[in-house]
Amino acid sequence: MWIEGFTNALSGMNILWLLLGSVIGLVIGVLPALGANFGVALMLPFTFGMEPAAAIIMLCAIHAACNYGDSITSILLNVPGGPGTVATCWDGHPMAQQGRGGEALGIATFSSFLGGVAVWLMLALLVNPITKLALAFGAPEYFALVFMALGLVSVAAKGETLKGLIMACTGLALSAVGQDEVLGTTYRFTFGIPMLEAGIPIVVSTLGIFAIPQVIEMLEAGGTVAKCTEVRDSVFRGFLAPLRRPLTLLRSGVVGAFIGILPALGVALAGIASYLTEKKYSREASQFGKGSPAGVVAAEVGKGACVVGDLIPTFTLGVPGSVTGAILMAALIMQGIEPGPKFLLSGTLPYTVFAGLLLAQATFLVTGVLIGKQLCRIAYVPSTLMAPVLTVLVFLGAYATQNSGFDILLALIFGLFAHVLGKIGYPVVCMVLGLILGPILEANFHRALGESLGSYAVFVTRPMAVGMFLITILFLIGPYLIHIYHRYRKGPRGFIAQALDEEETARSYKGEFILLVLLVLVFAVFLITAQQYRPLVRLFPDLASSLGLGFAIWRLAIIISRVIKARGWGEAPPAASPFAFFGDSLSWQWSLITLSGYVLAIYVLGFLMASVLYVMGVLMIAGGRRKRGWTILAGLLTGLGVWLLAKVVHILLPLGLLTGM
Amino acid sequence: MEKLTGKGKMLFLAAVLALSLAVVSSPQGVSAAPWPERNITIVVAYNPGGGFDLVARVTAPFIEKYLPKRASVIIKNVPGGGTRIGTRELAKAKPDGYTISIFDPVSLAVMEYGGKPDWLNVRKLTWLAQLDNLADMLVVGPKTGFKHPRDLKGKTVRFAGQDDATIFRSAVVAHSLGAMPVFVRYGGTGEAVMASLRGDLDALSLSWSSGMRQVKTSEDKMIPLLVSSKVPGLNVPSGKELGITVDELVMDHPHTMAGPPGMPSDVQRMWEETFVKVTKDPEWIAKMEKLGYPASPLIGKKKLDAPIAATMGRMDKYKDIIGGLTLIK
Repeated sequence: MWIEGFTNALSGMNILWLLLGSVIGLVIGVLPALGANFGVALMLPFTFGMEPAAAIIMLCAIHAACNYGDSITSILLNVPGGPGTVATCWDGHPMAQQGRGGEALGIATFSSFLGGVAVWLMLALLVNPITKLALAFGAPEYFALVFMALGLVSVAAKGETLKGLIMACTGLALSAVGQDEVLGTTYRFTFGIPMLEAGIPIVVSTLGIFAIPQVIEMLEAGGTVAKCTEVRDSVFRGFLAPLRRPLTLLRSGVVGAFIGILPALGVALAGIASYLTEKKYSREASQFGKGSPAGVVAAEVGKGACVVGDLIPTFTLGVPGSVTGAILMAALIMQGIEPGPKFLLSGTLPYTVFAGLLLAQATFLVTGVLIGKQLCRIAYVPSTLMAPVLTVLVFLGAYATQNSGFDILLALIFGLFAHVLGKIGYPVVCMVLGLILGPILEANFHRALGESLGSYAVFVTRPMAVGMFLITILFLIGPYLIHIYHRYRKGPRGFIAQALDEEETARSYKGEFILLVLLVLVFAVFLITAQQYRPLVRLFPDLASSLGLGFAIWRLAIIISRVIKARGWGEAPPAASPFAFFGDSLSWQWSLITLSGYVLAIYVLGFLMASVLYVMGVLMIAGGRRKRGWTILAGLLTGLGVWLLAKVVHILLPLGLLTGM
Repeated sequence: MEKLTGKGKMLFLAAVLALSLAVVSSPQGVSAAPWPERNITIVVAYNPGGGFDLVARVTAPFIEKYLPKRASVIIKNVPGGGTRIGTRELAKAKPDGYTISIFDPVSLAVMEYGGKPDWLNVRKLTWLAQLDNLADMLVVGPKTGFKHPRDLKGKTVRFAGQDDATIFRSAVVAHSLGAMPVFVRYGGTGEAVMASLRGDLDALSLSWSSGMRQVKTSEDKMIPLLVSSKVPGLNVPSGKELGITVDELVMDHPHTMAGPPGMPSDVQRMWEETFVKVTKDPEWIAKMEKLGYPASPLIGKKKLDAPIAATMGRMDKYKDIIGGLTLIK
């Protein structure tokens, strides 16, 4: 059956569909926020009339290539192509800045491939025990697992636990916006804004959080993304990095596969959890965040393993692990294959699907090598041109996620907030963890409680759940025990802690004080608003807001005592004139004005015209007045590109109030 | 002809681009030619991959085929807020026939009755075509010990509740059987079935097609007990056969296309003509069958308005059920 499956998959036309799927997937994957679910859903109707094997092979190729394509913008531009590659940015981009973009792409390509192939082998050889494990995992176990993942906040905020906790509580509280997780019949914290009933989509918030500060930074710094002139680069060199780190491969592969196998946890968690776990245990931990190949390996192996692992419940249990899984499952049903335990007993076609999955992994490996070196040139495009074009793509991606113009505004708000947090030295990763884990944690808590008819004993009577709670406690207490052991020895510290410490000495407390006062107000508003909901509906928001409020007040008290002690706010770093032109760069205040103006223009003039004006505006302000012709050309090309893209991938661009464009 | 300089070339190129951009993005002029003059959008208030999305995606190419004038039909997924965001978009869209949507009228009825949103009046939507209509099926887990619908009487039964409509239908069937329902929310039917196989959940109320798929996937461990109305060729008893009153009107699961309130009658007529042709196309019928949604067309406002009004009228009967579920805000 396996030989027949591979023979079918490798027949002439199917190879063509495989390649076509890879190209489509790569193009969609490279665009920020447009991920595998968008690509697979877009192409699904075209496969209805195709041969079953060809249809599934093409969709699998799109699925694999989209997930690979997401890594490209993460590495080269520090903008996650999708939530699954957030962690890839953290070491991949510093590598690109050091002129090692090709190597980083090589690492991402091969690591993602290795993660995917390892899980593919698991899928092929151990399908029954894995299925049984997934089946045994109920709501209390999910709750315990997500609780364990929340423990990663301590890694993400190492050295600054209080700030990390404040951020995690902010993420958890914000994740409660929208439909409640008890029965889904209450719409929480919408404050009269109907669009907030949809909650805060994780794709939109992560895109804003990571892309907007990057755009501001690129414009402020000017020059190009690559900060070096000497190119010491090779895509192939990147292939060796994962092979030299077998333990990283193992650890990240297990984390990624585990998250993938369990339905509904998602690739966003896989990348971040693999990275943070590796950061805790790797010997190279001190290099994480500075361009460490181990960081890229961890994030990419975790992502690759999760993406393929996600298909295990989809195929063998008939339970889609994600939206993409649901679409692939529908495609299988349309082609006459019923996913479920008898999947592999349905003739040759399932084996062709398996072969197609493996070949899809191999195809993006080849594509990655072929285009990797060429793509690196993006890092040498002037930032004043790249940043506005990137903003256009980011806003287009944010919009296309739910076809909602409101999501553009949401991405901007999250982006500006993340920029402020970065300036003040707060670990934004902890907020992202809160945003990702909040809904899963709350949903499984209430699910477990509902299943047990309201008995809390369910959390302490299920052995797997109890085991995971114990591991979490050890995970959290362990470092403190080690700390006590090494009390008088100064050990290596993580990059976040180092960054924070550097800021601690160089900045004034004024900014942090204002931030904390605002957060106290936000938590208080959440706490007061929550009182109108039923007790179970408000339980989690109450918890997150009260804890957040407590931590924020605690930190405020620390700051006030330091300010009183120092008899002043501390010295602020010398600020540049806010509205100064920097030749070929743009101050962050100008970025703020142009970004806000762009969003306003989208609502008034429509996406197309606003994008043209925004690109031209940024180029003019950033010194393009000297090159008026180029500025106009760049604006018009952006407009034409957006229009073509919208036509090809069927995005209905937001209309403006005035133009209807 | 005089050769252009570098700067001249640049300006010429910019002018050509500006012209082409203006041409491609300018709204098309109004003409007396038959409708439609531009692309059609089907708003789907769900994520890609679900039943509503798939029926829309399968149907879209056939709509393109039979529209009076060539136009593209674009699927616009507007998920979130338990279908409220997408429903609001449709309800507030211009009633020019260019924006339509696919709904379960019972789900909308529960939304209107429970939440009373000022932008929704189910009776006033322009109902165009019911594409299919599947009976509801009650499926129970292998560890419940339930072998007959009457076994549920007087018992506390844990039902899966994904959304307002699922909770409402489960409550109605539990009410019919004299069971006391407790609702547990899951991300999807598959997750609920896994919970049933583990013994963490007792029952699911879902369309018979989806129910039978779950029975098959579970290797016949899940047990189908009851369908709301008789399904030809299906060996599961209907409420009527068992002497149990199950309200078919609110229990059946249709996929119905509708437009915003106030669609002009000539546009309505063109839509109805299009749907008559679509639903008669053997290829469309075969694809719907393959998808698990056998066609059961009912075309036109005249034929649809009465059952929609009846469904809305029936909501009063279930006032206590809806109130008890705290679906009323």
